Formats: sequence, C-alpha cells, structure tokens
Amino acid sequence: MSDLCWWPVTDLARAIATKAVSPVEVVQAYLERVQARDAALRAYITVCGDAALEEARAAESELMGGRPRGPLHGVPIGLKDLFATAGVRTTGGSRILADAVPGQDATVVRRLRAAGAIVLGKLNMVEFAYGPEGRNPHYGDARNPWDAATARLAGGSSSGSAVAVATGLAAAALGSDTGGSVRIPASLSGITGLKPTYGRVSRAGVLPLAWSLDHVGPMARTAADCAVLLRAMAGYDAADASASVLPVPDYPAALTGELAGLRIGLLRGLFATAPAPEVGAAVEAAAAALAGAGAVVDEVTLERAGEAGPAAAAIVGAEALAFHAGWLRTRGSEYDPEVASRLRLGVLVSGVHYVRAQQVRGRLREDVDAALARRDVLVAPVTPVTAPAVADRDAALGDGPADVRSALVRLTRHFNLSGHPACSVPCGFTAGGLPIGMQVVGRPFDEATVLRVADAWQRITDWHTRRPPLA
Amino acid sequence: MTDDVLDLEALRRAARTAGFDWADSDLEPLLPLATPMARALRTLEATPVDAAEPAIVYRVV
Repeated sequence: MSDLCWWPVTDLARAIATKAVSPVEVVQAYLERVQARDAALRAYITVCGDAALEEARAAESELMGGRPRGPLHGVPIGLKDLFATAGVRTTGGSRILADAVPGQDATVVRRLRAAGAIVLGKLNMVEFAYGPEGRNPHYGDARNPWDAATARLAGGSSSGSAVAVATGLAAAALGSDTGGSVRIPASLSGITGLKPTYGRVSRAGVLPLAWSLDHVGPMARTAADCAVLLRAMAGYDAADASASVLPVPDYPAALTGELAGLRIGLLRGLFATAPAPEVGAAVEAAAAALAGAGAVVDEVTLERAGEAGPAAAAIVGAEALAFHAGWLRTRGSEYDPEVASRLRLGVLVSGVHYVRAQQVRGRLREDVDAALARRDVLVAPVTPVTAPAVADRDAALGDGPADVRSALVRLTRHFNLSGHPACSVPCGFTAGGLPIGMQVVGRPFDEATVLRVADAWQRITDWHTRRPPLA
Repeated sequence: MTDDVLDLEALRRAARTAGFDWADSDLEPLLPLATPMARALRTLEATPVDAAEPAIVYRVV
C-alpha cells in the first residue's frame, strides 16, 4: 500500500471518509516509508510514530462511530519544527531548543488536528528559519530529491517540509515564510506552497524570525490540497494581534478550473532580468499556456522592485536580532556559526533604518496593489535559479553572479514586505531534471483566486505529478 | 554605521552601541557580510519615501 503515500490529500481524505482505506493503514504506510527513506533524505527531526498510530486508531474509531472530525480526518501531515506541539519537542532546528517541549499546540496545529489531521512528526529546517538554502549543521541538510548524483539544496527555510512532501514522507506539511521560506523550497523541490496574505493565518505558537514578515502556509503536492489545508488553518485568532477578522472563504469551492477571462500580469523588470535563461523561458512559456487556456495575459513592471532587498535586510536584521538578543548574549556558541553571524549583523541596523524600511514597505505594497488594480493575479519565477549544488556558494543569474543566499530570496521577499498572497507551483524542469517554480501573486485576502489559477494550471499541466529520483 | 567598508573596530562599536559585548572572534566572521549590509543600508537611506508613513506592522483587517 505504499502507493497511498502518493495520493493527494483530497483523494486520501475522500477514501478515508468513505472507509475505502483506514487511517491506521495510511499512517502505517507513511511511517514505514519514513523509516525506510528518511535516513538519506533527512526530512524529519522528530518522528511521532507511536502518537501518530494512536491518533490513527482514534480516528478510525471516530469514523466507525460516525463522528468524523473534518475534511482532513486521518490525513498524515508534517510540521516544520517551529510550530509548537504539546508534549513534542520543538527545536526550531537549533541545539538551543533541542529539548524544549511546549505545553500546548500552536493555533494552526490545533486547528489542523480539529479538522482531523494526524501529525507524523516535526520537519527539518534552517536553524530558527534564518536562511533560504536549507542547510542545517545540527540535524543535517535535508536532501533535495531531484538529483541522485549531486547533493543539491532543498531550499529553505522549510526544507524538511518540502522534501517530505516531494518524496511521499508526508501527505502535506506546514511551513513558514519570512522572505520566501515556503515558496523557495517548494520551487526547488518541485511541490506546491502557499504564502497566504499577512494576517490570514495565525502565527500564535510559531517561533518567530521577524514578526512583521512571518507568514504561515501549507505545502502540498497540489494547489487543491493547499486549499483544503488553508480552509482548516485560516481565520481570526485572539492570540495573534495581526490575525485578520475577515471571514474564511470556501477555498476548495473556488477551484473551478476556469481561466477564461482572468487577467494575468507577467512580471517584467527585475523578475525578467534576474532569472537564468531556463527559468525565465519556463515562466514565459507558462504565461503563454495560461493565455492559450483563455486568460488575458499582459506584462507589468513593479517600479520599486529594486527597493525590496535593502528594506527586507533592515527589517529582518532588526527584528531577528531583537528576538535572539538574550540567547546571543548567553548561548551564542550554540548557534550554527553562519546563523549567528546573520543575527549579529543586525547591530548595523539603526532605528532610523528600521522605520525607513517600513516606509519603503508601504510604498512597495502600493506598487503591487497598483499592478493588481486591473489584474486578478501576477505571475513570476519563484527563484531565479534552480536548486544549486550544496557545494555552490555563488549562482549565475540572468543579470550576473550572486551569492546563493541572496539569489534565492531575490524574487520572493517582495511579497513578504507587501503582504500579498503568493503560491509557488511547478512550471517546468531544466534539461538536467531540476524543477522550476512559478509564483502566482494575488490581491490581499484573495487566496481563492490565487489557488484557482494555481489549480487550473495544474489541471492543464503535469509538472506537479512527477516524482523525484530519490523518492 | 553605513560606511561602505566596515572594519573590526566599526563592528565592535556597533555591537557595543546595541548593548552587546561580543568577542572579536564573534565579530570577525561578520566582516564579509558587513560591507554588503552597509551598502544595502546606504541604499535604503537614499531611497525616496517622501512623506510615506511606515507600514503598520500589526494591521487587523
């Protein structure tokens, strides 16, 4: 039954609800697969085998008693290891929190459990989510599954989430995205990942990197699966001051498959010059295919796109240092040295820089709003390059060389600053077999249209159905 | 703090100003990162924002 591990969440949930398969059978299949494969892939930091089986037996009993919990009843998921889980250690990918056991679940975890999801375990990540590459010296790097010959970056910081979903070690996962940490690993690992609008999903119980930029989002093999998870996760939460009071739409119901008449802006400027040729060509071909399916596609430039980098550096630098100040004073030697250096760099950011960055941020948001005033969504590459080799420190972009870390966030951080929802979907492969991602960006709180476009794209293409060689 | 090239002494001063008493061995690895960061901050300082108010961090909609 190992094929169960490749079923989309939508199919799995339906099969469980109709008693075609049992939650116990599903969880056992996943746990066996994790046991067999994860030593090489390093997607998990902690596997909750016994608890997951116990929850599966309870789920089966509830189902037999005619008491299904919700749309995710019996579906096994993984959680990036920065979501608090009652009674299960939450390391943040660090040594500092290696034995930290929260007393309660994060709000999103509680909501997913209430919808019936079963937590298989806690997933690998960049230490404290500070980095887009997916490296972790404490727990080992999660391995990008698309290249058996060369060790490549899975992308981060939600590296384990992407690898687990891409290799059939979880039906879906949660990630967090401060500068691209859901979309980048989704793109590099060939899965689908949604960064919702800032305020759409509660951050309560989630270890912060930068409070004003952190977004929580689902990662899965399809946009339809992301829609099911988002519906269960989203909504007001008194425990998060930034959580929106807007009602949560029925995202799965919005997936009509219809593209006709939708107005799509293909982002140009930085989003066209930075990508390597294969990446740019794949996204342009995708835009043409969307037009061929009935969408009205034009080109649009975000005039202030170049301002995102300095603003993001100042905001993340200041907020991350503020959160870590205590540990950096007393336990600095326990950090990954690279992460410690990134954190310490925050001392260069003055109060004036921080406020000025927030001023720039407001202007960036206006810029994106203006582009969306006459369009339903924007599309662009997620990363300018595909998965770099682990040994690579520099990457060849369309507009010149750049260090890998800054290259990976170049096209994603804009929408953390602006807060707009953005979904990464596979849109092609390089000649060398590495996945290419396209992001679909929508109006604030219009995840329904973003997911509708992403889902419609996946109905007319099969990029998202390919399985990596290391799976 | 936004000279384009920062040396160890500049980092010591910045750390102390921010309330951190870090050893040189903690600060030396920052040197390759500090210059790009300083350039980014200089770019930020030069970015026209007119009278824009800072984005509201916690906006409940």
